[in-house]
Amino acid sequence: MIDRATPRRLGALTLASLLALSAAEAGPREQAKRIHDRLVGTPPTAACLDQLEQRLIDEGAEAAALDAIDDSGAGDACTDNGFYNVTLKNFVTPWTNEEQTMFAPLNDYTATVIGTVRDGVDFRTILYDDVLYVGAPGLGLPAHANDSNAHYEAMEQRGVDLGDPAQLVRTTQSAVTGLPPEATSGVITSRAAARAFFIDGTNRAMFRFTMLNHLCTDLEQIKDPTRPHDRIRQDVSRSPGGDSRIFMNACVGCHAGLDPLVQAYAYYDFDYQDDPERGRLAYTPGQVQPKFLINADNFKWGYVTRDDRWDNYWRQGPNSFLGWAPGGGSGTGAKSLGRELAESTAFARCQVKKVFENVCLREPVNLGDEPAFDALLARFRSDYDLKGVFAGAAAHCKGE
Amino acid sequence: MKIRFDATKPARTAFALILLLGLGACQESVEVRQEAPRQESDRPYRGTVRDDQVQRYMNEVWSKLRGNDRCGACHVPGGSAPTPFVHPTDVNAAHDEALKIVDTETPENSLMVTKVAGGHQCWLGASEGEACAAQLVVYLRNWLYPTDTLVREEVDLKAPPMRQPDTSAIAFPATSDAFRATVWPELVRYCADCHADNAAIPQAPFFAQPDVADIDEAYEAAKPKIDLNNPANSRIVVRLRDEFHNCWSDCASDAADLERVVDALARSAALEAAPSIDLDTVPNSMAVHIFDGVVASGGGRYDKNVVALYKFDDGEGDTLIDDSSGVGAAADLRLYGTEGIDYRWLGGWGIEFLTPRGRAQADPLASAKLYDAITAAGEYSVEAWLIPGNVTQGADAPSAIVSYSDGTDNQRNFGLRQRLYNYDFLARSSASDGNGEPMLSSADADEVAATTLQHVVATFDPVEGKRLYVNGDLVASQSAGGANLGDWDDSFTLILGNEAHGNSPWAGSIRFLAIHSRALTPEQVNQNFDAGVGERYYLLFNIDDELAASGLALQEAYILLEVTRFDTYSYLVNRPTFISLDEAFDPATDLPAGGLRIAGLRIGLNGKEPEIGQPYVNLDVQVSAGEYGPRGQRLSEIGAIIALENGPERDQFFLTFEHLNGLEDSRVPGSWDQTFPPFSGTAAADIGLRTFDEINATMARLTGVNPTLDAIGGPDGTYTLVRQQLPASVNLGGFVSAHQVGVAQLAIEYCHQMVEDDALRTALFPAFDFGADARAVSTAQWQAGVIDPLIDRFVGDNLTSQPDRAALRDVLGNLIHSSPDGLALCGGASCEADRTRTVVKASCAALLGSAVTLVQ
Repeated sequence: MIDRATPRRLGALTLASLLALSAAEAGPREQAKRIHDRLVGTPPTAACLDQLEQRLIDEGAEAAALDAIDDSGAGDACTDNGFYNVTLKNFVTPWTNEEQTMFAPLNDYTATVIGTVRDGVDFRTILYDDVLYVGAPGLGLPAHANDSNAHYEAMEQRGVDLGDPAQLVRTTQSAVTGLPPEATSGVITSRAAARAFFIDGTNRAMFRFTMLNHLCTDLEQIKDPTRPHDRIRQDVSRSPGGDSRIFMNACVGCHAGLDPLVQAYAYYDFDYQDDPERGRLAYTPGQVQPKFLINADNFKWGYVTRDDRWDNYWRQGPNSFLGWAPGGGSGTGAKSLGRELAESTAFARCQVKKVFENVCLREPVNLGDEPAFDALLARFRSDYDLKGVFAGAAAHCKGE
Repeated sequence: MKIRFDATKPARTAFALILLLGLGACQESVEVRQEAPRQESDRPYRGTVRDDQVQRYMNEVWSKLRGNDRCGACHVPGGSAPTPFVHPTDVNAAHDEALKIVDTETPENSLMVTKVAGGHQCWLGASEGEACAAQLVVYLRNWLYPTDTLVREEVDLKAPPMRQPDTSAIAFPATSDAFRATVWPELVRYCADCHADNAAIPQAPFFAQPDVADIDEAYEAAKPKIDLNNPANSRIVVRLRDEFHNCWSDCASDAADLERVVDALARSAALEAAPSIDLDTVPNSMAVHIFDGVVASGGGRYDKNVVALYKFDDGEGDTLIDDSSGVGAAADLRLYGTEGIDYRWLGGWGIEFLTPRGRAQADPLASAKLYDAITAAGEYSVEAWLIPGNVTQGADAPSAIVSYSDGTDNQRNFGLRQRLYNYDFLARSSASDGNGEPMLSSADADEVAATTLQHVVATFDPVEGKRLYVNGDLVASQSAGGANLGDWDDSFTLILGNEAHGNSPWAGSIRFLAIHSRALTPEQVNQNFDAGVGERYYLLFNIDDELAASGLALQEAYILLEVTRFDTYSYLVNRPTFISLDEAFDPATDLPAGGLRIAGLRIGLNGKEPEIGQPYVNLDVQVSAGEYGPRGQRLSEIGAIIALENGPERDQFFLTFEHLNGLEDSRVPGSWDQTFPPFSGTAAADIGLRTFDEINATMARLTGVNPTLDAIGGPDGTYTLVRQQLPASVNLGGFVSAHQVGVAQLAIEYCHQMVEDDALRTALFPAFDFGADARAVSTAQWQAGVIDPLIDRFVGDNLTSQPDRAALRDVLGNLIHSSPDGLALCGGASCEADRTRTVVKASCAALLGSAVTLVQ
């Protein structure tokens, strides 16, 4: 091994290298390298770089980007699966836990999003479809279990190629987990989401983090105290510390619209004894979870949840700017609420924004970014193919 | 019209009055207690109690008859009469004796009763035998048939005056700006010597706070004293003009001065107020003031054995909290501290303790009525509606909510405390120490104490022991093992909010307190919880005119709303109900065949519809004969709070409807801007760092080493260890030395693995002799065999965005062979056998861990 003094010597080289970075104009070769760097996470091999450069010259930057992402088989010099195993995994992982950390292990939520992007499936379905991606049976992985994440952790540890449809396989939650098809709601009913957001509490966390991760909107940004108060649950004190102004000026802004939406999750819970890592999603059709009825004496005149009927009060008022799709506005259960959210303009805009920032390493604030962003959004809303957005964003940010 | 409601309460009987009179007699004994030795019958019972039946006998019969002026002089062991049913030291034996002379089926036929009816030792006088017998029957019935007869609360609903909503009413502006420009300067000039918290002797309310930083506080304090709709009627004007309160020149002109600035504030408020509603465009009810309503407060409570009761309804300026139990000498509580600083009165009844100096305390003599009633009964309850100010108090020092103590924190008859999320109940008995410990506490995990209005009841009796209820639920219990209250001290005092010594402060509000000389049963606790607290009114909103306009001729048709003063800042509106007060109303024939549709109900306040707090906008109900009952038809079970504006004396309520029996709200709803805000921010760099997994994948790809190798990705592998030390953000500005150390460690590991792997090493360095002595390798060989292959693979070819290849060659060349520190020179000494490999690894790591691979 190397002696301990070596890292200190390396420091000088590292700084020198940083300073030596060229600010020269980017030609097709440099652009092709950046496209690969941003999408795959690794530098291309010499052969891959040659291939991408030529593709960029011949067919344009977006074609080169798609070439970098996928291994198209024999003759393709660009075979690195980093787009799925690195870039997408780290893109999605923070959505799957309350701490929003990227360092969490691979899980069913992350795998399902990766598979959906890989297969070019309508990205909106991640919030409402009966869909799940699992490791192929022949990989020798621990069996998928409703009360364990071991299956996915093993996939990560063994470096399973998530870009390979023969290794990461599309199936349905109802077939694998036994959840009734009508109760499935994409990643909302994944074990990882339940572990993170249905655990304990009042299930409001599931809605809040779905808004945060998929509509890029925290509740604080959309407070609207003017919505009707009739669905605010009993557990919300109307006079915190004896001062009802706090409720009227702060609490109600979220709860008036939030509570009638969260009601969609009235039959869900994350069931565990002592160790949440051994817990599982619980679904009790027709039976409201006790967590929806706790602390009823905080305001006993408040709303009592009796079913999973949800209503979107934010379709009216200032939050109509989120761009709710025609129809909808109410329903029962998580699936229809998932569709309500996924079909909004805010959902599409949020996905494009996240991809743009992931690929371009910045918000769309530089010269020319906003028109490019709008074009990406229009394109995403035409086919809801998120892989195309990645490619389009990489093409825009390839450098000049 | 009499309407029966769900709330229940004990039947009020003449006997109850007699019972109160009986307790009044106890109070007389209190007054002489300090002067004369106690009779045997005054002493607390120290014996055991066999069971509930005996306990009830003790409470309902024995304690009332044992006095020497009643039966205790003779019906005792060795007494002149047979049947010792008031045995002074053994209530179990007394109970058994009583059964010999009581007809348990028909108490009126009991020998005990018939004897008294005939004039035998009637305590009311020899000629009052029938009255004594009637009273005795009540005692016996309470013992033998403990279930109270509960009747439904009756409320006599009366039609309020008919008045149209006043759309000219002015409400206070949301901000204090106009107040600051008009009224506030005058108040500061003339009133700040007293009505400010920094005055020599501060007098609440502090509407003259002189510091502009406190302007909002001054504004809130001034609002109840200002009538914007009739400035001359403002309290700050009346106080000068009619009551000559501390005028600064002559009262008439001083009052006129304040009236002038109030008028200016009213004009300003009228300008900035939202436009009032156009009543021609929306179906609406008649308007009512809260005091037009029918008072429903107090209904349904179980207070049969109350000893002391505090409603906290005295209000601002009062320093005494009245004991309104009517039992014995009033144990009024004196407030200590300065109003507005150490404590404050709450709108809607209540007192809030703000600092450790704030407390309320009865004097020991008055407090002794608790001792007398409770030790005689051997059981008691402490019942409070309270709002803890926080859930962080009570951890280090006790936070005493209610204490009956000597003023310290170690001697008490009882105490109710808060400790973080817990309530603690300390109860002195023969089974406790002098401080009432071991105390009964709610479970930590339950976290029952919350900073919201809570109903807390602590009960003690010898059979069930200590019990603690929060919001009607039993949250903790502890057996007392038949303990008695013989060790109680009659010199203790009742204190709220702290102990007298001041070291046990409790921050929070108390809105109701009752001390009962019985352990309330769970049913009674729930009954009192359901009865609620505070002022409650039934408001009737007449809709006859609108219904007539819709073609439906009804008389006295109303929407009934329960309205409660919820706290200082809001009302609680609850349970809208359609009802007709017309005795002749027949829903089967008077309502439309398809029902009377009521939809989109909004509460109007002072000529406007408040935007916040509307609970019935989505209501859509058909009033029909099938649903209409003796109490009308309930439209919603939901309640909500709505902000108080000008105070309960002046706020005027009315209702509007989006739909009322065919009449429609014709107003056009506003539209909203439906665009997303544009992105904003300064131009950002278009390059950044690779993040942790990207760095690992990059190193794996460039070296060809499998990242799942144990040495790298295993449980103790280098990547596993440094993963969270590597950059997690692409931001170049966030790159720190710790990141570089982690990158270097990982690069060294990858290069080590590559050089030690024959295939990988040979693939990258096919022309280099790794067996050669490092010092013997020429500069050209290092260049061609090691440096160039590394640069070719790691940096790439023909990329202007990468560092200059010649410069990299120099840097790596210097690292290897520049004198005197070049790694291949071995400091001038001979090189160890593996030095050549080490030099290659170092060169590899230097390049692999550099910006060449770190930046994307």
